[in-house]
Amino acid sequence: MKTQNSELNMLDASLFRQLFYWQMANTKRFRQVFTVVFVKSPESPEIKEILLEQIRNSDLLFNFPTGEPDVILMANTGEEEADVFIDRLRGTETTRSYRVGVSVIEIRNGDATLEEILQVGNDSVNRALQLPGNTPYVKDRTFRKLERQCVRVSIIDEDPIVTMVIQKLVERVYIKQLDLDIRVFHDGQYFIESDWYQSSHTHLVIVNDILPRKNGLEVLYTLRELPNAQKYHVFMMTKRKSEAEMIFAYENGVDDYITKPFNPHLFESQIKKVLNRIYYG
Amino acid sequence: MDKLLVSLLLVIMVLLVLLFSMFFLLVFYRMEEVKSKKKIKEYIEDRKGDWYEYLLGEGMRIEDLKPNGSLELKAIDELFFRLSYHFTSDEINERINAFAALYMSDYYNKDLSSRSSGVRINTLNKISLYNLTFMLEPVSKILRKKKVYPKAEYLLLYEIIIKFSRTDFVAHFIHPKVTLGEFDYKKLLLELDETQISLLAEDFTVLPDMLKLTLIEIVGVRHYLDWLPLLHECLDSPAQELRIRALKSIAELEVADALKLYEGFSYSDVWEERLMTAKIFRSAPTEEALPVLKHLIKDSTYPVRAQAAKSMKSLKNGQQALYSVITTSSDEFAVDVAEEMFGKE
Amino acid sequence: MNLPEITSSFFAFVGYILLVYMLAVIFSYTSMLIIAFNQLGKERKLQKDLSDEGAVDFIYTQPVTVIVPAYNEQEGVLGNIYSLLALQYPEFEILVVNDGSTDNTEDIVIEHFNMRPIRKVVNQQIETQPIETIYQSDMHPNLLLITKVNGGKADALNVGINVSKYPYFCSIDGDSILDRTSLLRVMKPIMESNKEVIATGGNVRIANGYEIQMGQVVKEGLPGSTIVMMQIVEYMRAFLMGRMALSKYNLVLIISGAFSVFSKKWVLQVGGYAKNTVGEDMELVVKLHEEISDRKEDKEIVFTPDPVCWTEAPDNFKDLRTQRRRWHQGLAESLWLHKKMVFNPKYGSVGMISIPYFLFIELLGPLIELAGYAYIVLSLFMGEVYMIFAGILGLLFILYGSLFSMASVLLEAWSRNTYPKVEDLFRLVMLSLTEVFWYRPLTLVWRAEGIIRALRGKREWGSIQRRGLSEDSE
Repeated sequence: MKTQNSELNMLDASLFRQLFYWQMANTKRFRQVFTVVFVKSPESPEIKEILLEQIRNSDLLFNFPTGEPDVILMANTGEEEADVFIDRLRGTETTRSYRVGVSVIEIRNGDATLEEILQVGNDSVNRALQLPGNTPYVKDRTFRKLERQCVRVSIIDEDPIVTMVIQKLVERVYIKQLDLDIRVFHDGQYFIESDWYQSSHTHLVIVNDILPRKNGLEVLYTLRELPNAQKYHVFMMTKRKSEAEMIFAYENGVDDYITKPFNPHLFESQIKKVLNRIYYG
Repeated sequence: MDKLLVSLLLVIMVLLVLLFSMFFLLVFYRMEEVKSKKKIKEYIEDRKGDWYEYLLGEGMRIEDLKPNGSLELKAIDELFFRLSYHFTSDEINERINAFAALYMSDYYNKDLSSRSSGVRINTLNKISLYNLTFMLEPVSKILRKKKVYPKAEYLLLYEIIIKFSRTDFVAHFIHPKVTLGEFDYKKLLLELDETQISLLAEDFTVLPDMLKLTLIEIVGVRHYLDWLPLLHECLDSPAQELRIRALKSIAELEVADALKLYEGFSYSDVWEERLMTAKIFRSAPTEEALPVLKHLIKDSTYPVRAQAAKSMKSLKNGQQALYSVITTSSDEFAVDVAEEMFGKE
Repeated sequence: MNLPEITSSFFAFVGYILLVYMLAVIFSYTSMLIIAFNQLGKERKLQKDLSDEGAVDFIYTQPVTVIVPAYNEQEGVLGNIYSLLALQYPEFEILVVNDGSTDNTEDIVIEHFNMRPIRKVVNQQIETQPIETIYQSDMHPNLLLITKVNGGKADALNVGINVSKYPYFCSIDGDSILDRTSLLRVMKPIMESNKEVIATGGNVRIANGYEIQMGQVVKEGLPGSTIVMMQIVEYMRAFLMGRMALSKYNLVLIISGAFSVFSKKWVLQVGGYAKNTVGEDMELVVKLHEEISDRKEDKEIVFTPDPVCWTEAPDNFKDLRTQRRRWHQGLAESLWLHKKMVFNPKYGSVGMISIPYFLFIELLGPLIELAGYAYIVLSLFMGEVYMIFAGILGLLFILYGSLFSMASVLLEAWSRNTYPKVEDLFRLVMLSLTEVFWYRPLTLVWRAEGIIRALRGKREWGSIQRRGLSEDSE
């Protein structure tokens, strides 16, 4: 029974690259955490059988050439959950005479590359082997830090004083790991003509409903037609509007309505809330 | 005849000279104006960041913004206008007030006593827009004067009194210095908060008729449920307009009790009353509303029919009822409005 | 008396009549100019944007239906719609009524604003040509396009009234452009008068020379064309020496069809726009005045100088001639349809003052003035005595034609700032002085033609070549 599973869980090293990047895409998009474990035993290179018995069904063991550490990929797993694996590996100490070095690397940073991780894994597992004990291990936290993410912010209003104030308010919002790239437009047409809004970035659009040339609803319409429309968070500023119009705008992609004159501090915290949600999901 | 010709010629020459000198005078003033406009623009461009810091940030002290000369005062005035158009907060308010009280009190007081009514009205508008509470005293003083002002000015004066002083307004309302119309009352009443409205409603019976109508309407717009009994009283009034307004406000309140009180109005001779009844019943329970609306959907007046259809649709299971009107009714108009409601899906 | 004597005394007699007429006209224009001067002086320093603020916020601002009758307007209609979409007004709908255009008006609008056909029951309150389809925009739910069988401008407007859902409607020509605050400000007199005002007209201005993009004025400027500049002067003059003063005393008979607001209730009471005249806009106003008097109500029709509507003026003689002929024909027909109001005390000051004013000064004036021009030319052949007479008449013409125009330009520049450049102002002033020598006689002839056409009962659209005001995308 167990062996059957084991065979399935043991994969050729050549597949690691593909599966790693597939996992990485999920990390980047859905903020999923995964862990890569490097295992090395210089005295007895063939520990694969033992490893296969100790990993969970959802983990994948990659069979690297002799001399290089073997790699276990644990999807949706953090460093704490990997402790269980280490405990179980320790349990095998009575049945073996050789030392096994382990390095646990939790990955949160969506920008990490395969080469970086292999490098760090190799180094840290060698570091572990210099520690005493039969199953020495280290936890490397190089990739636990989230990567910096860039959010684009467009401010569209006719009056330069307004855009100045809003820009400063947005700049004041500080969220670790978020880079805000702010740009100001003074009419709708100019915004639509620019290729600025067409990117894969998460995009905050703060737009007045009445604008020279193309107005706010038309800007909204343009954004709504984009394939990645859900990447846009639209704040629409308005002087008093009729209920019907507001309902229409909500149904067509406005996320928040801001009625002028508005309280700048409330607005600031609204922006902050939205940005937080963008980042932490 | 010759003389006439010559004198006419003379008149024309004089006029020409006059017009041309006016032209040059105009050009001179125009150039001055352009210059000062440019300076105002430059000031705003240069200092808007500082003003942001003063009003919304931390880094700027009031003294650092001390204005130099009248052009800067004008520029600051414009800045206040544009800022208050878009932003509002107690903090901004306080800081604008503090600044204006310190450096601009003369500027606003001078404009307030200007000979041109245009300038005075501008100033009153500004006091109200930027909430310059320190100007309440000079404003009240104007109201005590014997001099008669244009109506637009009185309206603004009252508006400011309402805004800045919570109780003084009632007396002005019962005996205004100019005759106020519906629009004027509405505009003023909208400035009142709930306690101020209550203060006024206590004297309901002695209020001018137009004010009564407006007050009734405000109760609906603002959803003041506490005043429902007052609305019900108005339904018995002999004044048709008051009844219509009361029904309208009841419709706005979206209440479903005392339905018996409203039902009778679906047979009223006045179509507006029937219209409002149709609207009221949109928030009633289906079984009670349906008979009334089925009657009103066949009404002879289009808006009543349309409202009845709309109300029916918003009822629970209203869609079905509406559908049955289309399939079973022999009334062509009723079918028409019912179908339109479905078209709006 | 022999024949030459009879001729000469007849000639002298005509001369006196002309003289008296000119003096009367000059007197009435002077008084109107003074009234306008007073009025403008009061408002000159008033900053309108300060009070707009209150009006926008005001939830009771009446919702308005904007009706755009469009017949072959493919050049201008997009700019027009864009300018309407940018209006600063809490609640309004836009109905573009395509009156069976033969060009691409319909397709352009449908494509540009993603329009879909919708079902809508129309309350047929005025008899009109049948509606074909009603479309609604996907982007702007308050923008509707109605296509209908061709029936003329009045018919298109009537269809708009039938479809409209709000208590006030604003008619606006398909080739013109509104300022952002125009609708708000044109509605203000209605609200502030507590609905005593049942119709208001805005100020129509010539946009040639202005740079306009997608319905927004980008840069002010004066056009190069002399005919257009002359019309600019003419518009200023008509506004200052006419509408402003008449409006003050509720005597307005013309509020331009290019931009005006009406209470729907009242317009329905008088049966909407009349289809049997080319001057449907004026006819409606006269009809409303008649209705007001018949019902003995205290309602007003006012002209508001401030809200501006930009329109494209014809820039060649042919089109200008067509336009002026049409206007004058419309004036003649409107007055004819309501001839019973002339000097009829039942119609109060409208019947006693404005109708006679429009009849004798505006309508018949051109004929008398033309006679004046002819008189001056003829007198050159009649000997010295008449030369002096002709000289006096000529000077009066100059006073009346050119000096008044120049005064209007100056008054305009003083009270508002339509042409801020000093150089532009100078060009306008100089040009206004030449008016009496070429432009005035030309328009007089065209107006006279209009009277003749009215007598012969000709009715057709009279097409005017349009370029479109706005540079639109695509």
